[in-house]
Amino acid sequence: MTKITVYTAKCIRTMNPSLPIATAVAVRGDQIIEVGTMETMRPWLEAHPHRIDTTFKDHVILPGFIDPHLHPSLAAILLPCHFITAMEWKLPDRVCAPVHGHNAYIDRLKEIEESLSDPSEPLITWGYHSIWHGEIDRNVINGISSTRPIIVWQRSFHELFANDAAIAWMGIDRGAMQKHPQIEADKGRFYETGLALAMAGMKKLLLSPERFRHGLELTKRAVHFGGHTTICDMGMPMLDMDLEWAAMLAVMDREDTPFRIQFVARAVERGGGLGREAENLKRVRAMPKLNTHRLQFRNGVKLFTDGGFFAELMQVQAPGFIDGHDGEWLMPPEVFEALARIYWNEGFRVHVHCTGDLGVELALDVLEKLQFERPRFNHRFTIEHFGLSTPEQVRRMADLGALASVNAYYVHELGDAYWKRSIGHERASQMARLGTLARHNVPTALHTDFTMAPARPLTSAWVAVNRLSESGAVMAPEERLTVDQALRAITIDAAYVIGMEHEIGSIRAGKKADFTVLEADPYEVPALDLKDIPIWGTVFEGRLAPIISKSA
Amino acid sequence: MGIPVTVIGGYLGAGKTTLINHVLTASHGLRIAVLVNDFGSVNIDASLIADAADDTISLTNGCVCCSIHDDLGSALDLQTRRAAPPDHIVIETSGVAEPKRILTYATAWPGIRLDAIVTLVDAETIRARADDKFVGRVVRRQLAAADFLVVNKQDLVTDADRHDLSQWLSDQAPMARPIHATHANVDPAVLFETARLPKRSLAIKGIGDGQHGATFVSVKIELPSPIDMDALADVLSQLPGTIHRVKGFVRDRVTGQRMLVQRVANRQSITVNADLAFKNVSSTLVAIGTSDPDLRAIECALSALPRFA
Repeated sequence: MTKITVYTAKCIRTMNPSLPIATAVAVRGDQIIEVGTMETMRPWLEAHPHRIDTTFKDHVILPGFIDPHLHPSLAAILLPCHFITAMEWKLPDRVCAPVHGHNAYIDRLKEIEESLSDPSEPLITWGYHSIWHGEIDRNVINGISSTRPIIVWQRSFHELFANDAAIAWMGIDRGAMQKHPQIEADKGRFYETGLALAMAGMKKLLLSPERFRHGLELTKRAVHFGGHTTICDMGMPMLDMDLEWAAMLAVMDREDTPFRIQFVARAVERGGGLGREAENLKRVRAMPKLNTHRLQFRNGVKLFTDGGFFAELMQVQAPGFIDGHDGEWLMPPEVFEALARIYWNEGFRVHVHCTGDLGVELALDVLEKLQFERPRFNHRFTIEHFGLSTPEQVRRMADLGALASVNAYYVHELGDAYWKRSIGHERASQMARLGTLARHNVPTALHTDFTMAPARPLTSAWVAVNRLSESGAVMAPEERLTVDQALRAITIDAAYVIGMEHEIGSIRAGKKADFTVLEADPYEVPALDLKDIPIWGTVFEGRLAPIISKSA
Repeated sequence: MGIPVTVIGGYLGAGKTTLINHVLTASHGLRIAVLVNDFGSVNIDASLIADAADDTISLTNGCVCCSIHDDLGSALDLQTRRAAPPDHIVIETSGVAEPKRILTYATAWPGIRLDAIVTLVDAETIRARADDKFVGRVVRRQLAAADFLVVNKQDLVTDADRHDLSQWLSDQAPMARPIHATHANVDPAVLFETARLPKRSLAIKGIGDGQHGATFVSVKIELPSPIDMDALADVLSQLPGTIHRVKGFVRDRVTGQRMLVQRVANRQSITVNADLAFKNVSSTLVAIGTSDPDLRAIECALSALPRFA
C-alpha cells in the first residue's frame, strides 16, 4: 500500500467548521487520511508506513481553490492576444501592468509591434477602453504600422479598431464598409453587426486549431497560477463541441494537469427551441460518456435568461437604465421555462445565467412554478453571475432553495462606470449583493467567468471583502463578506454549488488531497492585502504542483 | 443591388413557422432561402425534400431552409456566396429578437438588402403579451418596426375584438400595413417584391378566405416616360393604406437615368439603376393592394402625370 505522507504546516485552514485549524495533514495517494496535529494522528501513523514532509512548514494550507464558473474556450481565444489593460492582469507568462493614458497606451502598442519578428503576423491586442486610453482610430494605428495587420479589441469585446492592413487582412470590402451603419470606416471602428463582420474575418486566426490549442495551454497555466485545483466550465460547448473537446483531451487530460474540470452542458444546442426538449435531454444525458479521470460531465445543465453584463444587455427592472435602453433576452421566457422544467423533472442541477434583476425575476418565477409542480429538496438551482438583484429576491431565493454563484469583480471594474453612466449609484453600488446573500444563508460561491475577471480566486475574495471600485470608492459596505465567508465561497461553498462538496472544498478525512498553499494566512493579513498573498502552488490529488512563473 | 431580404418576426406562437412552411412550399416560382433559428419545427412534406443535411434542407422547387445557429452573418454569407444565389432570403427571427439589431443586419450585411419587415401577431394573445412583465417591451418594439403586420388567427376572435385590436394595433404601429390572416396564410406576392415574380402571378387572386384573410390584387400601371420625379414622389407619398407594395422602373426627365422605384408599406426608395441597358422608353410600375377601387385610383393618378416629349 502507498506510504502515508504527512504535511506539516504553519497553519492549515481546513474550511471545516468542526475543526477549522490544524497543523498536519496525512495523505495517502490522492486521499486525505486525517487532519489535526502530529499528536492526534498518531494511531494512523503507528499502523501504517509514513513519512513526514516539511515542505510547507512555513506555509499556510487551504483546500484547493474552486472556480465554479469560467470558460476555458473563451480564454483560449483571448490569451494568445496581447493584453494592454487598465487593470493589472497577472498571467503565468506575463504580468500586464496597468496602462493609463493615451500616450502610454500607444507606447505600449508600439513596443509590442516592434517585438514581433514576423512582419506579417497579425497583432491583436485586447483590453483597450476609451475611459483610460483615450480615443483610438484607424489613422492612429496606421501610424504604428502600415503593413502589419493591427486590431485593437475593446475590453468588453463589443467593438474593435483596425488599421488599413488589418482591414485588408480581414477581407472586408471597402464599399460595404462605407455604407455599413455600424462601421465607422474613417475610424476603422467596428461594433455590433459591424463587429460580426470583422469577427468573420478574424475567425481564420482566432479559431485555427493550433492557436486554439496554444491558447488552451496558456489557460491551463493561468488556472494553475490562480491556485485552482477544480474549475467548472459553465456551458460546454462554447462554439464547437468537436474542436473544443479534442483540444481539451489534448491539453487538459494529461498527467501534468494539476486540476480537474467539471463540465456543465448547455441545456440547448444553439438555436434549439420549443419542441426539441427531449432531443436536447438525450444529448445532455449522453455527455458523461466522454468522461475521463480529469474531465467530467456530471448532472449540471446551463440555461440563460438575459444578456451580457459588460455589454449592458442585462434585463433591468424599473426604473431601468439612465439612457432608457433595454436589455435582451437570450431565449424567450417560455423556452427557458420549458427547458428548465424538463431538466428539473429529470433531477438535474440547473444553473441559470442571470445578470440583471429582471433576469433573476424570471428565473425565480420559473423556479417557484417548478417547486409547486414537483417539489424538490437539495436541487442546487443556481443563479449565475447575479449582477443586479433586489433584497427581496434574495429572500425569495432562500425560500426556494436557490444558490448563488457570483461574479464579484463587477463591483471593482464596473462599479464607477455603471454608477456614473448606466444605472446610478444606488443600484451600481449594490451589484453582486453578497452581504444580503450571507444574511439569508443562501449558499454562495464566487466565480470569475474568466475572461470576464482574472482567474484568481483570491482577487475575487478581495473584491467581496472590500468592495472597492476601480477608483477606490467602497461600494455598499453593507454588502461586504467577511474573510471567512469569502474563503468559503472559493472552497467549500463553491464545491457545494457544483455538487462536489462531499469530495472536495475542505480538508477532512476522506476527501481528495487538493490543497492551495499560500505564503501568508488570509485570516491574518490585512483585508486589503488578500489579493496579493503569494501562492506557492497547489497539491492536486496528493501531487505537488509548485507554481513556476517566468515573472516570479 | 444585393439579394432582397424579408424579415419574419413576431412572438412565440404567432405563426412564424406556419408562414415559413407556406413560403417554402407555395407555388411562387422563386428560389427562396429561408434562414430559421429552430430547424426542428419546420415541417416539410417529405416528397418535396431533395436533400437534407445537418444545417440545410434543399427542396425540389429550388428553395432551401437553413439553420442560423446563432450566427446570422455566417448564415447570410453562405447564401450570398452560393454559385447560384437565391432570388430572395427570408430570415426568421427568434421570438425575443430586437428588431433594431436584425434590421441592421438586413440593411448592412454585404450582398443583401432589406425588402420588408413582416411581424406576425397572434390576434388572440397579443394584448396580453404586450403587457407581459418580461417581454412586453420587446413585443411592442417588434410591432413598431413592422412594414406589414400579419394579424393571424382571425378565426379565433370575435368581430368586436377584431375591431378593438385594429384600433390598438394602429396606435402601436402607425406606419405598418395590417394584413388579416388565418393559419398564417398570406399571399406570397405581398411578402416578396414583385419584380422577381413571374408575370402570371402578378394577376394572382388572393388565397385568403375572403372573410378572415386578405385578398390581394395587383395592377400594372403604364406611366408617362420620361417623368418628373418630384411629381411621382408626391403621388406615392399619398398612397392609401390598402396599397402594400409598388415597384418598377421609370426614366427621370432631368437626368434621363433609369430609376428603380420601390415602396414597401410606408418605406420608399428611389434609386438610380444603371446596371442594365435601358433601351425601352416605357415606365411601368406594379402596385399590389387589397382594394380594387384604390388601385384604380392610383392608376389614374399616375397615368395622369404630366407628359414630356
